[in-house]
Amino acid sequence: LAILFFVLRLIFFPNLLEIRFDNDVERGNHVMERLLLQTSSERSQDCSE
Amino acid sequence: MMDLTAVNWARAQFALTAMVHWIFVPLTLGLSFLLAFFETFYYKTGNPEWKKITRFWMRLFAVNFAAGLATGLILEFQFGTNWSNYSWMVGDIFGAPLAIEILLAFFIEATFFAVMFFGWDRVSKKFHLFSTWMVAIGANLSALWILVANGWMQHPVGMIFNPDLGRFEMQDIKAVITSSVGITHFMHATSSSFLFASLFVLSVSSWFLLKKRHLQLARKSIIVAAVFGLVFSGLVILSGDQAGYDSARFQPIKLAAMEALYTGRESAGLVALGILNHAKKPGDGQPAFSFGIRIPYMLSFLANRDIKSFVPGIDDLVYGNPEREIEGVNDKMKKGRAAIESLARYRAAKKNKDPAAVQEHLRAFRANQNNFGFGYLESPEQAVPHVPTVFYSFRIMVILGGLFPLVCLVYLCLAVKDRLPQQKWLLRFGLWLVPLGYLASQLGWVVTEMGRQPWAIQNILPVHVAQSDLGAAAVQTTFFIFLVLLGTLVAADVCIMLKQIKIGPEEK
Repeated sequence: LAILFFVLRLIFFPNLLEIRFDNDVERGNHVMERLLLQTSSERSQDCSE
Repeated sequence: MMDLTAVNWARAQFALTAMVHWIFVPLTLGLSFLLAFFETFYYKTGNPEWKKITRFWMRLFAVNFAAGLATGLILEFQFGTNWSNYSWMVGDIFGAPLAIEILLAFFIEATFFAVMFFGWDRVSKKFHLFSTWMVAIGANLSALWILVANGWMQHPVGMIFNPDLGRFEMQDIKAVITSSVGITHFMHATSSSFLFASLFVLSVSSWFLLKKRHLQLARKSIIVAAVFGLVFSGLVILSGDQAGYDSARFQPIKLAAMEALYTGRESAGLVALGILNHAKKPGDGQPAFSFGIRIPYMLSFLANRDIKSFVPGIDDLVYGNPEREIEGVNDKMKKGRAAIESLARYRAAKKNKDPAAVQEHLRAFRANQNNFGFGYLESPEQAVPHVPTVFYSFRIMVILGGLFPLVCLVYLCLAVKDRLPQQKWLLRFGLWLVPLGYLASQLGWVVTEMGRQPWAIQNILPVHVAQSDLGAAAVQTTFFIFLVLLGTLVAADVCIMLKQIKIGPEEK
């Protein structure tokens, strides 16, 4: 069971920010960009597009 | 661009895993203490019947404990994969109680579990008893830290947002740990788990009595479990009352949804039974109920400890009520958008190395940061949870929660008089106590979690913003992996438990 979980974790459930970015500054910038992009006005624009 | 489908798959996946995890957890929490009591009787009396009883229930406990551990690990996977924004933003706060849980409680459990399960006749009776008590205390301490973390999501305190890193940082761990919401959740979740474990023991013992097997084991188990269940029923009611009071203060829209109260009123009654008007929408002026029976003044009393007090309704909270000084969601959305805008300008000013502008925009952000999450809502109505789900879940939970202490009382009286084996109707009903107990327990979480939608963190982070930058297909795939995995685990657990029950206390 433990091996199964380890394999699942590795293949299907990675920590996205850990694997996509090298350091905390890049991770922080990515999340901040997502936060600032997701204002409701921009979402409305996206939806209408 | 936001992908609503991916959000909903991620929510479904988390709900599935959490609900399966909660199949095992309440039994672990409650049965651990029942084991401790059974073994204490053995230690005090030296009667081998108590040892047999303890060892039998311990086998069922061990099966359940292992499955609970596995599902708990799966829950953890999802934070980094599906909820990476959430993990990044609140990892500093959410991670602290979980880390304490692992360091303190999990080590206690892991150390003493081995002694408890494998140490019979290898360690002294006193040390074995001590180990059993430590497993019970450790398991419940684990729950404490997890519920502190959950309580923080319902009522975030003791933190400050770092606009450079985009994460909340812990400022006051004492405020997080001693938050009334977290403590109340812990009391309610553990006491209801103790009650559930009692129902489990009553149910399995009923089956033994129906089959005319292990009559002494069944009778003794029933007496202890019924007393245990009765005592903790009182705590379930008290902590449930406190949870309602906390909701009135920190999550008033959840309380309004639990009662389907759209228009606030003074001397508000509590809906005892009701059928909702399903066409009802916030602010449309239609009646909320097709049929309803209220207990006069009770809601005002539960919400504010004052039978004449005003309890705000969904319309008051969504559209505002200036007379009552209640700010509407529209105003909060404007403040939230201002906070997001200030944050963007703050970062631009930092990039341009303009210290005056940095200070100005930071001040503007701090002024509106408590409404940060509202800036992501598209309409005021989005702040309203799904009323029928919350309303009916709450009613069914309360009705069942009222039934269980009565069942415990009847079982106790009949077991003491040794008249239970003749009550076939009661014993057959007793077989249903496990599914009914699970239903009540799961619906309690439905009220807690669905009642705080759309928030991952109350007023600060909506669920759709907490999600990772992932496509729907990826989340959908992992959802089905979890479905198969968890389904297999539950089926295996049920099969092993049933087999162990059929084997009974004789150990082969």
